[in-house]
Amino acid sequence: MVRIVGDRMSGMTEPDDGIADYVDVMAERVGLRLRPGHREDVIVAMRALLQQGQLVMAFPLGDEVEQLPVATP
Amino acid sequence: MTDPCLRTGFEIAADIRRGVLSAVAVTQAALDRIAARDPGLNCFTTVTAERALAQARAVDAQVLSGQDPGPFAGVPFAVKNLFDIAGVVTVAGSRIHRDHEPAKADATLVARLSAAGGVLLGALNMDEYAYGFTTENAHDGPTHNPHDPARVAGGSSGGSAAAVAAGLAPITLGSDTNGSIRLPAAFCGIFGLKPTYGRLSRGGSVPFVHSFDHVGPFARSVRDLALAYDIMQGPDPRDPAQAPRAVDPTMATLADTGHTPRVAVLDGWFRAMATDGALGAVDEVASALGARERIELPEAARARAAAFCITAAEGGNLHLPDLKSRPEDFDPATRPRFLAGTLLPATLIIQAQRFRAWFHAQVMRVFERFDILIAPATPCSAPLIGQATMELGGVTMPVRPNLGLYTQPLSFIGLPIVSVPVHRSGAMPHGVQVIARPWAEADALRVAAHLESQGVVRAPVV
Repeated sequence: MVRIVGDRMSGMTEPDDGIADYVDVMAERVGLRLRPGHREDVIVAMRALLQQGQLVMAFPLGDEVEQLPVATP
Repeated sequence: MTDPCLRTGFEIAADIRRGVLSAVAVTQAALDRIAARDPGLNCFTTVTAERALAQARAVDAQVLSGQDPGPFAGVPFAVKNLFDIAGVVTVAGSRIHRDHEPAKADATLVARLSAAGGVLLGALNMDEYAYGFTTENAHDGPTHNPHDPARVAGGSSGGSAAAVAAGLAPITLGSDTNGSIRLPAAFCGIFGLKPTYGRLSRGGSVPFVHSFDHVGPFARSVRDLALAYDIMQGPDPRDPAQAPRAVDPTMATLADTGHTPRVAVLDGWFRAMATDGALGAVDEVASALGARERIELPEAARARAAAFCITAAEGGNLHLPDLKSRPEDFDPATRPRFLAGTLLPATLIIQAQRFRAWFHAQVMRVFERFDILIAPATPCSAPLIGQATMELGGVTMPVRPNLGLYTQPLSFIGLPIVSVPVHRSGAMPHGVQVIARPWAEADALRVAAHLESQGVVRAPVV
């Protein structure tokens, strides 16, 4: 299913993967007011990030693996 | 006498120290060359001509009076415009920072090179806030590749790399989070050093991704890289991430020590999508080093993905106040990625941080068997300015986010890397990453120097 989201004047179609809704909700929660002209690009960027993120989330890590919050060699 | 703009920093300093070359003459030649060439290249965003000539006069006066002007005596250098220069607004490629006050003091590395006799020529173009691989800056315009002005110089330190390739300065500084030294060095056919994370101070530079921002030099010879790197080492309280390590000079260790390093070629992810030109460059270097073994870094694709996500999250968070108050002032190429980065789920970033620990441990195991790893710096040579997509491995993909495929997994865990240039007649240059274990910059530089002495890698002025 494909639905029209965002700037309806643009005629762009977005896959109904929930990312547009996620962006709208989270932007409001962190206090960002996405300009209409910026929103579509943010959704595209978020989709690309989450696509990469899936690779990371799919990797099984043992409980013993702690965070490495800086690239400490 | 040879045009000083065609000489290396080491040669310039040696002649100035001996009193056979004037620092003012060298500086004026560099300023003249910038005036002639830079309008067509767009490397410089600020030229500090007055300061440069004053520094040069001071060096000449020291030589005349018998004082030691320092190991960098009269060497012209320039810095990516994210480094503070006293009296100059540090724009970091942005429109937003143009509203800031001029810097009150030099960045630590600018101060160290100046104290060693260096002559600062100015500030250099970059991708906004270092978030890009092409230096197609919406506010300052694109930097053109000296080898073909229709092509990008690479990024985000594109001005720094193009300035060295064009002979506008023998040595420049840049920063590298996801490849921003190695990638433009490769596209512009010069040498670049990304030291170990925490080695060189980032004091007085505008951050991008605190957890893996690095700073380092570009040059047309390995000796110049080592010269600048050695001068810039040392502890600095302005950078809390800097490791408390002793200075480790490399200049005297560039010559072969008789120890043959164990070298392996990275396979899998690091070859799968590379063009024939990029693979040919790696194979040439591998052959010169006698490297026959190919190995895979486990889960390199995931390492790149984790770097991709952490970059957006940290960068977005850093710029959140401006993203809220003045998003229209961001470069359209960076704005959506920063904005999206602020919205990523915490569990993804924590998983990426934990994956980093796992990946780091795997790579350290590889360094138990090998001293040096080699890989392409980029999957292809420099694309055209304005080019939106490219085909790699039979897949069409956007140019901007994908040029760092081979650099991102490595800086993500802070490894020291020298990008060495491979030139072929009639073709754009390629770069090869010479990767060492943490804190072994000297090993990477020694291998690069060996390749340079064999004529396998070189960096001509264009």
